[in-house]
Amino acid sequence: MSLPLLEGYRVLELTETPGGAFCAKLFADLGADVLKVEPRDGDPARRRGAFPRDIPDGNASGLFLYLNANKRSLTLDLAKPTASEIATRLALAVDVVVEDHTPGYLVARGLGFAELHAANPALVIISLTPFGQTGPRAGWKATPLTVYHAGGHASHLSPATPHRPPVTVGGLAGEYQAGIVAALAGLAALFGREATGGQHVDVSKQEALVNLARSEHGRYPNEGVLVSRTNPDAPFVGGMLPCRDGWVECVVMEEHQWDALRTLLGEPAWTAQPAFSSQPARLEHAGELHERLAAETRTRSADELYERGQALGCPIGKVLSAPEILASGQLRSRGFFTAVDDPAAGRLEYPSVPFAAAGETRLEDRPAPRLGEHTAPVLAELGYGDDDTAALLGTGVV
Amino acid sequence: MSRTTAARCLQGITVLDFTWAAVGPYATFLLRALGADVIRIESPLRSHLRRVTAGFYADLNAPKTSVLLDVTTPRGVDLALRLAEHADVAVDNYRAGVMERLGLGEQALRARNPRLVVVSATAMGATGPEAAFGGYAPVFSALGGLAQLTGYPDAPPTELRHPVDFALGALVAAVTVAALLRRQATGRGTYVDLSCREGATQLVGESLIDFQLTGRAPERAGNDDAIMAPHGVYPARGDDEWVSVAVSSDEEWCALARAIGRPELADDPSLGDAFLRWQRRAELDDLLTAWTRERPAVEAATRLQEAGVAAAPSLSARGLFEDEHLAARRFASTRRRGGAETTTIGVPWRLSGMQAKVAAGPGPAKARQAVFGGLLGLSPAEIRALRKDGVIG
Repeated sequence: MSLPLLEGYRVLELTETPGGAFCAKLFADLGADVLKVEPRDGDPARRRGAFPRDIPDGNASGLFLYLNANKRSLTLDLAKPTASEIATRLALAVDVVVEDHTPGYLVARGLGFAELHAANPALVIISLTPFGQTGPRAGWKATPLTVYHAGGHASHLSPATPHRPPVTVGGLAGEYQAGIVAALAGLAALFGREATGGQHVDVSKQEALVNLARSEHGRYPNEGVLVSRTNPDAPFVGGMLPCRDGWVECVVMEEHQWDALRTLLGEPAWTAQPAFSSQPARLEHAGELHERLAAETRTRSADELYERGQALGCPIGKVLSAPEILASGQLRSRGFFTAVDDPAAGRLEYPSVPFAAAGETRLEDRPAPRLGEHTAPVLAELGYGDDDTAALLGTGVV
Repeated sequence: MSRTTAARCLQGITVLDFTWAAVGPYATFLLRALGADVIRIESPLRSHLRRVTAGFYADLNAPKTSVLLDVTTPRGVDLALRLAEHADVAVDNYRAGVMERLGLGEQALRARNPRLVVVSATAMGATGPEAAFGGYAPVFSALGGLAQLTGYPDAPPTELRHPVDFALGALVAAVTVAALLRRQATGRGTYVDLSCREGATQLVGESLIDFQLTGRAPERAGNDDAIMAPHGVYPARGDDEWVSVAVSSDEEWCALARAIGRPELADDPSLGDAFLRWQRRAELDDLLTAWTRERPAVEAATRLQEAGVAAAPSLSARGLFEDEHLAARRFASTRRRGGAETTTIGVPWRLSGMQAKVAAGPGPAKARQAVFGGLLGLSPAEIRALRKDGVIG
């Protein structure tokens, strides 16, 4: 699943949220050596599951495995002064720190940007926090749910249920989206560090999400249009359509795509009506059109609509579930899945990086680390002798 | 105080922008915001779609250096290939095969400049039996697994739009910078073939692992959580006003009970652990709703935060622009020109405390001179002739 674009770079990960871990995962999947520091009871994702046969096992939690394959793990009790010293030595040995603690947490442990930058002027520190490093809510508690709702997407996400509470995006996708934005800014800071020196990259998950919907949100101050569940951004020709065995999503923007959709549906007579004869007319009657299309698709299979529709040139997709994604011939032919033998969870197929790079050979993937699996080797790399390591283990610092 | 500066991270990097629709223009907008020079190639190809995307067209493209170049003509293609010799990056997001048919495929571009990083984002990826299939964000979010997991269990899967385009755009930009870092090490450019559908799957990747571990395919869950309760979005005072709340420990549950004026619940052993609360989550949702609906969302969230409970208003666009925290971080700026005000959302990062200012790009005449005169060294007479023949605008 990994490509060596960042081979040779080292990353220190001090995270406890899915967004922070995903940001560091992007570095790990691009070949950087990511050292993940965990508290002695482990990263919270180890307790999250899902677990094999539903039996909790901190080394076999699905969320932890997904976010932490290709990383190394060392345990460190950051409340202890010696641990801060070890973390500082680690920060001297890496190019990037990814952290997601409440602002002030690392400063209180002598691991703030000012201290680390003084010791290692080329270091890039990515702080990915719910509300950023500054502002009146910088210290607010948050979970993936509350961050997503603070980011504004939910206000227009679910027009199908306009009178129920606004709904969050599936899984942890809001966290991961913010993680991508933080990785981008951190990579750019890394690229520019010869000119600028190491920088502190402050990314607020809330602002990252706001930015990803900037085109919808910007209409409110500039056009006076409040995009919402009852007033979606723009009608679509098509949309979410029921079929005999699931759902398809179809988006028609151009005339030839409409022709393809008509052909797919066997040219029903109603499609020739003036209300549907041009794209502006179709957009004006988008609601009625959606109902008519649904009546046509309801009797057909999702596979038929997808494969024939796309062959005809209609932008249409099936709504796929996890097992269907795993079975996709397209994804398999691109080598999107890589099998990793995990000592605790067995052989699992992981989704890999969503791209290929010419001239680069994929790296061999490593399973997610057991808790503290790499503590001793990493301490040795830092110059701690065997006796020191034994003492650190004995005193509970590591 | 937030200070502003021009971003310098990608200073000296020149990006050729062949993108359209949403994924690509946002990717190159971000690269511009990080300090790269972005030359946007406007072509008659798909130009009608500019109308469809007019709402964000100016927002995303105003900071770039835009030139009109007809890449459907041999002379236009030749000029584009010459520009590739002077660029570090080329980005496109046409359907697989379109750039090749124009004569601007990755091989043609990289033959001119082996140090060039070419990034192509397509719905399905450039290879595989479905490579020629196309689709916008709602289509690749459906195929990628996001739609299936978003929404209420008793309602249809949810259509996802621009925010997913833009998340993929951010990924395109991130991979571009990673490829530039790789070039620093190897001296070689590369060609990145990015599949938006696979990118959407990466956003729900743990659902594939969970399925393999349990044999159960994860389903839509609304705002519910598999472990936490209360965990949801509750009505606040006003029309379409909401507050999200998530209780993740026994301490937070006790704090919440006291904050909503029901301290006896904190001592109720039948609600004394997470599983007991989760089993009775519908009942707890009603209790919390009775309290939240009496107060504005921001006030409810603030009171719960003061008690130590994670809560936040579920903001609409209006709420974002009235939000005191976002205002304190200057997430947007307003410019007055003539009688008109334009509000622009800034960039989603601060570098060493500085907010990058994304300056507007040059007007058409200056852009034309900078690109064809400055970069390619064409004479005024050559530029006039190309304009007369409709090759450039």
